[in-house]
Amino acid sequence: MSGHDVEGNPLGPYAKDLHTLLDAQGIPHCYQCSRCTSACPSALATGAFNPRKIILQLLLGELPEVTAEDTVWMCVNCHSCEEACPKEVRVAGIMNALRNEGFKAGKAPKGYTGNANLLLASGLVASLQGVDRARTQVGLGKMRMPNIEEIRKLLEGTELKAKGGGN
Amino acid sequence: MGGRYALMLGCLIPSRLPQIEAACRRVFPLLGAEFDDNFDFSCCPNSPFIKPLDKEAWLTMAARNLSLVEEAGLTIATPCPGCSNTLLEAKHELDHDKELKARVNERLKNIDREYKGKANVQHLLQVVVEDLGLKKVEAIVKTPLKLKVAAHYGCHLLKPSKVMGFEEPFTAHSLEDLTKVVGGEPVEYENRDLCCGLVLGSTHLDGSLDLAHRKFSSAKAAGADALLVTCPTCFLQFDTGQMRAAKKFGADYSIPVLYFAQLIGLAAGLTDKDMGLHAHRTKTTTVVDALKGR
Repeated sequence: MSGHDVEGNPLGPYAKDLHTLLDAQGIPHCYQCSRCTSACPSALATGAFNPRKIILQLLLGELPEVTAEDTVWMCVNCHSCEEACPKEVRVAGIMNALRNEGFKAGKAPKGYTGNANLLLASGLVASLQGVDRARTQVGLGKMRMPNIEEIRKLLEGTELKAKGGGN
Repeated sequence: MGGRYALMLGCLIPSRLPQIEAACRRVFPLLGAEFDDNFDFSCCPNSPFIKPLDKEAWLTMAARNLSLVEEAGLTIATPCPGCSNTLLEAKHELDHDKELKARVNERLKNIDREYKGKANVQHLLQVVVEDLGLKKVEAIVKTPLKLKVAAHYGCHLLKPSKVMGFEEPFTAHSLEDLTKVVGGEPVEYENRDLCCGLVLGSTHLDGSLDLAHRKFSSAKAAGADALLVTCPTCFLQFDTGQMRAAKKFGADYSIPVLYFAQLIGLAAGLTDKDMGLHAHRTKTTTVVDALKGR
């Protein structure tokens, strides 16, 4: 399923659904004031990630093809951008929608997929090495683990289960 | 006013930072709060890493966690802002989107569960400030902690503010209030509201350390004896990550990190061992010295 822009040009590699989703996050209200980027810790620290520019691309109808090296993965989901935005654009929601597409296409950095693997292995995003010793050291007993069978069953048919545990 | 809460520890605290769990378990009973551990919580799941991969799976797991307490009618209380953020964001989305809720419930049916939308969620700092009250903390203080404390709220405790419904991010003052109540002095410092940077480390390590450096150096410049946190991710970045940042920037910050429950416990006369300070990576000497002579 693919959509068309106002001039009838095809929308590129992403589905119309994604445009609908992105519009619902408030993209049409953005007037490029850049308060999001000014408030963004990742923009400050990397000089590379720039949420305003990503939104500009989207406003122009260019859907960037997300790769594992894309700067969009530098978003830390802190929501500072959304606190700063005068037009209530859901900037973090947009960054997540784009990354969801990247993951679907098998393009996510190892730092992310590694966490997905941990989640699918135990139901927790944590390495369990040396846990007993660390807990004994502060006078605590064994750590309670969640019912992983139930969680795997719940995630049946999701992208996370299909792609996250693959490597 | 006390109360009973369903305790959701999350992932990092019970596995990598059990001193935070120990502190919470030893401090909250003194304040009249009781924890119920009988819920099969999984990872919330993690919003900086799992939501960007598959939002629907993220929502589904969050809905399962929320559904677990609905029958018992307890509020979920968590020491981790990542957990409170995920659960409250998921709740917000599910309660405002019928189609989405129906889709998620279709999945939950496979494990004989249902999300109804009745659960409440609070971070433990919120439990102290809103339910128990700082007066209660004041009442258990035995040794005023004469420390200069730099409050670090982190991101997810307060943001997105419309969903979290706690304090306004840039004018929050509960950590400063808490510091005063236990006898300390809150310091004003540049970069108070800056992110700790840990999550950025997975894609841009230099940037991650840069954020930590800004934090340490501005807290230090303001004369802080300790950094006060509410989040295991911030704790890891500031405690374990401090040596790495110090090496990279050729700096000596030597600034101990305290989780807010540890601050309360120490002031209430529990020992530094009770609060697990021996498990910290960055020396807690300034804090322990402040306790001497009690």
